[in-house]
Amino acid sequence: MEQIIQVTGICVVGALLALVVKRGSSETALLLTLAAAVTVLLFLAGAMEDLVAFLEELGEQSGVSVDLFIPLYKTVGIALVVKVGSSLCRDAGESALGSVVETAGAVCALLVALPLMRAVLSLLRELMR
Amino acid sequence: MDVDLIFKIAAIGILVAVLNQLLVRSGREEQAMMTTLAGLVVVLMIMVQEISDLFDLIKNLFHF
Amino acid sequence: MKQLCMAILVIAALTVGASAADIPMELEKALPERAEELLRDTDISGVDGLSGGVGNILDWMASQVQAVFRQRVKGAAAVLLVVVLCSAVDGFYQGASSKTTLFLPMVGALSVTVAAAGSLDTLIGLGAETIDQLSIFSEVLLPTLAAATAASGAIATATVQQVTTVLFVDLLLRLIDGLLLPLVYLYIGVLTASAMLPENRLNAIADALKKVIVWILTTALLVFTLYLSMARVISGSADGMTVKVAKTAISGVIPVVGGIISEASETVLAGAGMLKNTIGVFGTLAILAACAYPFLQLGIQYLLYKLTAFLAATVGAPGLCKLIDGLGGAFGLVLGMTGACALLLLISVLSSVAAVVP
Repeated sequence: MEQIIQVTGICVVGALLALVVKRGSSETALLLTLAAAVTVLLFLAGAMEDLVAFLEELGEQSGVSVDLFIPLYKTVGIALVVKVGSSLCRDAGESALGSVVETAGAVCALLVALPLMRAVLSLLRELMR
Repeated sequence: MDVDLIFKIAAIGILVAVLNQLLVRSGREEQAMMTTLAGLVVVLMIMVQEISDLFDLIKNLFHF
Repeated sequence: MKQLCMAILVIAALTVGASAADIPMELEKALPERAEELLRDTDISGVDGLSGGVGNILDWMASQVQAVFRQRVKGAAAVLLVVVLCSAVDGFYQGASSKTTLFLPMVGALSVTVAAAGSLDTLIGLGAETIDQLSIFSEVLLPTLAAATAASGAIATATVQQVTTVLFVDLLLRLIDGLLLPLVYLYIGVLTASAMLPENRLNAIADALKKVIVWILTTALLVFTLYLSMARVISGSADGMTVKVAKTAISGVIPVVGGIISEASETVLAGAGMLKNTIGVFGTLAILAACAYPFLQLGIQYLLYKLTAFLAATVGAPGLCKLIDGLGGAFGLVLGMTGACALLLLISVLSSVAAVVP
């Protein structure tokens, strides 16, 4: 519980400070938001590690090969980065750049999922043999 | 949590803003621009380490 | 000349008749292995031969239930774990980006099928193997029965009936091996594909496939029983009963399994009175014994998968839940096929024995 309170606190304080700084120089305001985001994400790292470890354990117990799920984890990571990145671009007023980031994210997600789709194909081929 | 980072950057930001206003008011726009740029560079240098840490973390966490 | 032939025939019939009381060696050798173990301690020639034998088989099944259950639960638990894993990743993803990923259904369906693949192969192989063994056994059983029938005087009937039964059994087995089993694999493939693509238009194809398989199976059974009743080989009460069997089998499209099993047991019990012939009793028991183990495994697996599908629905993955349900259905189909073969053989045993009754 305290984690979420701390996180919310930092973000709100960061937003307020950014408002103040924006009046003088909006670039620094953007950097300030970025700094707040980075700090909070680093802080969440511990929690996320626990989550992913749990997911891996589940995967092991069920006996499915880990390779199947790695593309999924990568997609989650890509989604996270893309979401924060595109929002930052839009905050700076560059929605075009934001869209570009999102598109790049989709393409990378597809790339990452290529081995997965290959596995799907091979399984279907085996079943229909 | 590294809250000091945020406050440091905020402080630099306000400093740069104030300097900016002063210089613009006294008519030295180029120097105002240069101060802003300098402030940005300083902030970026402070943050680079943190950002790199974050990306390393994401890489390890999500099995890249 | 005619008299000589008649004399030879009668002598031959008598010699066959003499050995009909014991069970021929080839018959025993052709027994499926599991049936052999079960029947070793059964005394068949007594009046309670059939019911005693059935009782033994049921006891054995009851004793094996726990072990089989524990074996199968591991597989079902693995599938359930995969479902939980997928919902956890889904939640994680939604938290990170507020919409669902394209790939989660794919990965989920893939992992469920992989997790189930082991049991799929084993159990479908088990079903196919049992059907094979039943076919080998029937190749020896049916001529022996026909010989016994001929020995008691109904030579013409015996020949006709034996030929047609052998023909039908062979047809059905070839149908199952060549058409239905590949169809089951195709069904599983379509199921997996439809679970991977969120627009479940493939779902309709999968359902249609399943209905086709059930329909083919029940039609084959119906044709067989209708033919037998038409050829008046089965007499009296058995006649009406086999038709009823076929009717129930058709109407019970979804619990094909349950219908076939219940009707088979009814057939056997009702026919118990007619089975005075030792070989008939032996044959029936052998068929039942050979089917006991696969029925147990397939039945438990089917139930477990239905249960897992229900649990998966509570965890909240509708696509995966349909996939698991469908996989359970595939097991049910294999069970139905094995049951159909066994039923076919049982009916033919009954019919040949019924011909003996004057």
